[in-house]
Amino acid sequence: MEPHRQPATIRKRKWNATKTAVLLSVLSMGLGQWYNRQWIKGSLFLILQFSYVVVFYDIFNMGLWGIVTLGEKPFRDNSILLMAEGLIAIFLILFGLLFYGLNIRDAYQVGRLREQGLRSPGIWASFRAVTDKGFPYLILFPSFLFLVFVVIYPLLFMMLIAFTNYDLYHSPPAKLVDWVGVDNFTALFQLDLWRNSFVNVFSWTVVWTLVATTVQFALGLILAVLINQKRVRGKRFFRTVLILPWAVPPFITIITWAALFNDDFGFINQMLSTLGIGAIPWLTDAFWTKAALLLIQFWLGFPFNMALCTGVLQSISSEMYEAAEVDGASAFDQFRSITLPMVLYATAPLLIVQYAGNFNNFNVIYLFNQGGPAVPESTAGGSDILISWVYKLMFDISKFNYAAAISIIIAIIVMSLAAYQFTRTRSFKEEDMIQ
Amino acid sequence: MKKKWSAWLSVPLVLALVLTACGPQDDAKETGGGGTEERPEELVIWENDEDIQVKHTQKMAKKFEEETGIKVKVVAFKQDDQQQKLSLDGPAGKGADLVTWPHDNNGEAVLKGLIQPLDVDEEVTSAFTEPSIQAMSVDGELYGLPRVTENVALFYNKDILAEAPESYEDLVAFAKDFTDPKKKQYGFLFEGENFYFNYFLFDTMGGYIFKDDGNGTDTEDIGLNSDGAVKGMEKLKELYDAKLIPVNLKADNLNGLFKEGKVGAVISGPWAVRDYQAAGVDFGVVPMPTVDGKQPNTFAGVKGLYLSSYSEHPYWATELMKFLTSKDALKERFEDTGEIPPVKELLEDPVIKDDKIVSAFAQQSEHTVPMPNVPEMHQVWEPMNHAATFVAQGKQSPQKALDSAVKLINDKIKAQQQ
Repeated sequence: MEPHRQPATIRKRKWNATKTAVLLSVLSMGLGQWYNRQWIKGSLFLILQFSYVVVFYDIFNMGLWGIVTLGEKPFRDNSILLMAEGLIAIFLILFGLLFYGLNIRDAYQVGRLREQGLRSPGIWASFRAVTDKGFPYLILFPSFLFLVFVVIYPLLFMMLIAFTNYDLYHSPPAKLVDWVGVDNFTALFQLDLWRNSFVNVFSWTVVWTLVATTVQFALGLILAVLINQKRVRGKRFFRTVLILPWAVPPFITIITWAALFNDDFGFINQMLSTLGIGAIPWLTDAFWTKAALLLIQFWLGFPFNMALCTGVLQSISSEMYEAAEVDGASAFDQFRSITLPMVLYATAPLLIVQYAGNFNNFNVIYLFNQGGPAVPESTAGGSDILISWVYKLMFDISKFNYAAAISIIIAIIVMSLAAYQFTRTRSFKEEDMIQ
Repeated sequence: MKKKWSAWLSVPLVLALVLTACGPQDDAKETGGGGTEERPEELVIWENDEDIQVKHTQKMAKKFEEETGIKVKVVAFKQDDQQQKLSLDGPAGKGADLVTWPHDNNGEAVLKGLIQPLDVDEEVTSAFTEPSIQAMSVDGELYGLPRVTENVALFYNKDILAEAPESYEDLVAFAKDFTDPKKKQYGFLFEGENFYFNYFLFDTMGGYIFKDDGNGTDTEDIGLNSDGAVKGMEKLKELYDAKLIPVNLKADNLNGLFKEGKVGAVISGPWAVRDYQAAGVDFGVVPMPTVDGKQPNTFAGVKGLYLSSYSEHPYWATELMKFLTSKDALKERFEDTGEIPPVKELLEDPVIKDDKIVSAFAQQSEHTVPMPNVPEMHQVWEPMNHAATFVAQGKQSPQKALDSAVKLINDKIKAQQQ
């Protein structure tokens, strides 16, 4: 075919080389490139497509069949493994489609070039174009793959479980698992086990999130400001000491705290008794357990915030403070109108992340007192937050499908709150506060 | 041809529907029955990953090879994870022929189809104690042979108690004299808020967990708030009312106090023996004291060997299982690992009779109830522990606490089976 040169208005109505190339590419990878006289590239594409189909044929065959049916014969078919395989097959197909789309786009672009009367680029030119223009993508591709299979894959797998009847009575190999649509979500709200506890647990979860996060941030900020004062000597020493709670693995410290808070044999109660205050039922009374948990979380959480705020404080120019002093502002005024807005502006996103993190802070709650103390007539312990309660309840009764369904619900709650906060924080508005 | 590929790649959804007709080729093998089965080259057994246990089983495996010419591969693998591993490795053909775990997992393993019923004679099973065979059975079918039985008994500190009281009543009376929480000094301690340890009180007063008529467990019929169970809970309440046991007592505190020599007697299991000996406490062990003149039953935990559903040599694997649970093998196991065998004849054997500590556990093992091995049992522990806690703290009366515990257990079982 000869390259056309026609006014654009006519070109739209006429059949032309570009369309032919695109159409051929849609038929099979490489055909459009051949049509565009890019023989080597076209052949490479064709070989790639052919090998892709041959190599992955089994995975597609088994995986797609598996994820749709979840197996047909117990003992021969393991539904859960089939689901995993099906997910991999879908990922591979998406990757395939991505390349397929790129091949069509390539045919289109080269076709356009030919219409303008230019020669199609040779193989070397194409190769160079990929390594030059596509360099960032090339470099990022391995880590992207890794991310897909390490982060996205398990998440999707968990979400799929929420739509099945996977529990103790539907466990491979003896039983098949089936798709049950949104039944789990509706069944969840009919469970008697929720009724007496949900409101209590949810309200404590909210209180815990707000108090723990706000105070750990405030403590961090106050300490950072104090240490940052010009008059303070030994800044380094104080910073090191105050960073320590963050440096020790929280698993160990939480369990240590649990021992220190022990009602009868813990160091804290012995100290209180010696002081004549008397022992406090830290682990056996819901209120005091909550208090102890908050104290522990403050202790665990402030060092990170202190480090964070220290960093931000360094970047506030001293001219502002000097100007404020000339205007006769007190130290408190300076803190309120300069330091606080600046710090909040810079740390808002991380603060939101911490709120979300504490909402699901399983470790502290579970390791300190397993969500206890027990509360009469309730499936939740006195200090259980949503995530720890659900974990205990669902794994106790082996309802993996419910556990997955609730995880989705919790994730939606946290994500929507975080998204709402993010859009409202000033760091997303076009304001130029920090030069 | 090319057209076909493009259909393949561009319309995966249609394809998925088409493919529902495809899928795996069926190649299920028929497993041969009993004695006609060919001699395998090798059998695989998963043993719990404790060194002494693995060494013992390896030694036995060699003996089995000498006798039969079949190699046995012993793989060390944590017993609590074997079920999970078998459900993944079994279908892939990498599983074991024989596996081991504590018996309370058997109900679940059978539900999941991981283990298969055994084909053994009466004379094999009759050598074992009744509770241990019960522990190996699900719905009246035998799924394994027991190797080890474990139960609690009474430890007493010889410096405080010249000899162990015969009866629970005497023990409590002594505790009332001796206990002084201010000095951290106690007459008699056990984990009262743990159903595993306080079960003996419910049992002697006539409480029961699930009705069991010998061929299956009726989980609909829960006897944990029956009159007997309430009487048992009242006995427990007396201990807390008299401040004999501190509320929220956990194992490490209890062990710590006993090792410091501040406790007259504790209820504990064979796992604590070495720990106490290392602490230099001069102690003795006796069977549980009588309550109301009756020898109380305690819980038994039985570890057995089970035949994997995926085993391709069920006949020979069963032979190996019989070999490993034979009287001689288990006697040797006791000498190697100190684990008490649930074999009637061995419990009378001098090797156990002459060891004062072991014989106490062994005597008590004849008064045990195996923990129910139905999956519903998982729902019992927590509500029962909490019921004891509420009674200990004085938050609820025994009747009330047990009523709500049973309601909770029922709710959870309902949710589990939903």
